[in-house]
Amino acid sequence: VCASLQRFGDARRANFEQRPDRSKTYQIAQFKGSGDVRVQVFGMGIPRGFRGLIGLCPSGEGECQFLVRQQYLDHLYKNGPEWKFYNLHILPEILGDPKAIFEGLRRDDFEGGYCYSGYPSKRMQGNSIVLPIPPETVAVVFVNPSVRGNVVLDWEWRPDDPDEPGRPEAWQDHFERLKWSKT
Amino acid sequence: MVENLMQYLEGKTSQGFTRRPYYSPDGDFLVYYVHPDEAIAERVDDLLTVYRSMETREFVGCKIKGIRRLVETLRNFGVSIEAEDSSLTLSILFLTAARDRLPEHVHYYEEMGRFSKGVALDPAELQLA
Repeated sequence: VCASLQRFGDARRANFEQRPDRSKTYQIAQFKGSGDVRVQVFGMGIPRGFRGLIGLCPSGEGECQFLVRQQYLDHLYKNGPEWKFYNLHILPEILGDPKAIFEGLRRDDFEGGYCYSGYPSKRMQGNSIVLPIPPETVAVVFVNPSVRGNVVLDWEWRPDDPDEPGRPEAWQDHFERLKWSKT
Repeated sequence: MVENLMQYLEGKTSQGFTRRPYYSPDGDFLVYYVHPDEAIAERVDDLLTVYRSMETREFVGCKIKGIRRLVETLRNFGVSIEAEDSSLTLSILFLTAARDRLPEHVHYYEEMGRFSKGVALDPAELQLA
C-alpha cells in the first residue's frame, strides 16, 4: 500500500484536496484494464502503538480502518490464553463480513461503541489445527470510535441467539440498537 | 511502514499461558484468565462479564469494566492507590463494584472476588498512579 501511494502520489494528491479520513478507504486511481485501485489510508500512518485492519464501516456501507492496540496483542502472545491469540483471525473476518452490527454498548462512556457479530470461517487450535467454530456460538468484536479511529476493544465467543442466528443471545438487553444487519 | 494486524501474526507461536491481568486503556476494563480453556462469555451486567470453559462450563476468567470509576470510588473512601503500593487487588475492585449491583448479580461479584483473591494490580500499569 505504501508503494502504491508513493508511486501514484499525484493521483493521491488529486483526490485528497482535503485531509483524508484515516478511517475510510479511498479510491485513488483507475487504470485501464486493471479496474479500480483502492488504497487503504492506513498506509499513510497508523497511530503509534496500534495495528490496523480493514472492515465494514459501522453504518454498513463502505470500508473503514480499525485499530488494535499492540500492547494487547503482545499480552496475548506472551500470556495467552492461547486460543484467544490463535483466533485473532476473527477480527478481520467479523469486522469485514459481520451478520449484524449493534450500536451502544450499554455501559458508561461507551454509548457510542459498536459490537460486530458473526460466524468466522474457522476456529484455530494452535498454529495449524483448524476446527469448525463451536456449535451454537457466535463471535463478537467490540469497537469504540475514538480520536485515533475505530479502536477494537476486545473479541470473544458468545452464545448464539437461537431465534436470530448470527446475533449474540440477549442482544436486545446488551446493546442500544441494531445498527445494521446482513439481509 | 504499514503496521497491519495480519503481518504481526505471521509465523508467531504463542508463548503459553500465565495468570496475568491485562488492563485495556481503550476499553477501561481489566481482563483476567485463570485457566487456558477456550471460553464462552456471559455478560452479567454493565460492569462484569464472566468467561466459562466451553468444555466444563466452569469459570475460567472475567472482565471487569469501568476501572477508572471504581478506582475513583476507592480514592473517595481514602484508599491509597499509588505506584509504590501493593494494596490494590483485583478482589477489592470486585468488592467496590458489588456495592450497587442487583441482588441477583451480587453472587457473581463475590465469586469473582474469591476467584481473583490475592491478585495484585500495579497502579502504574493501570495508568492510575
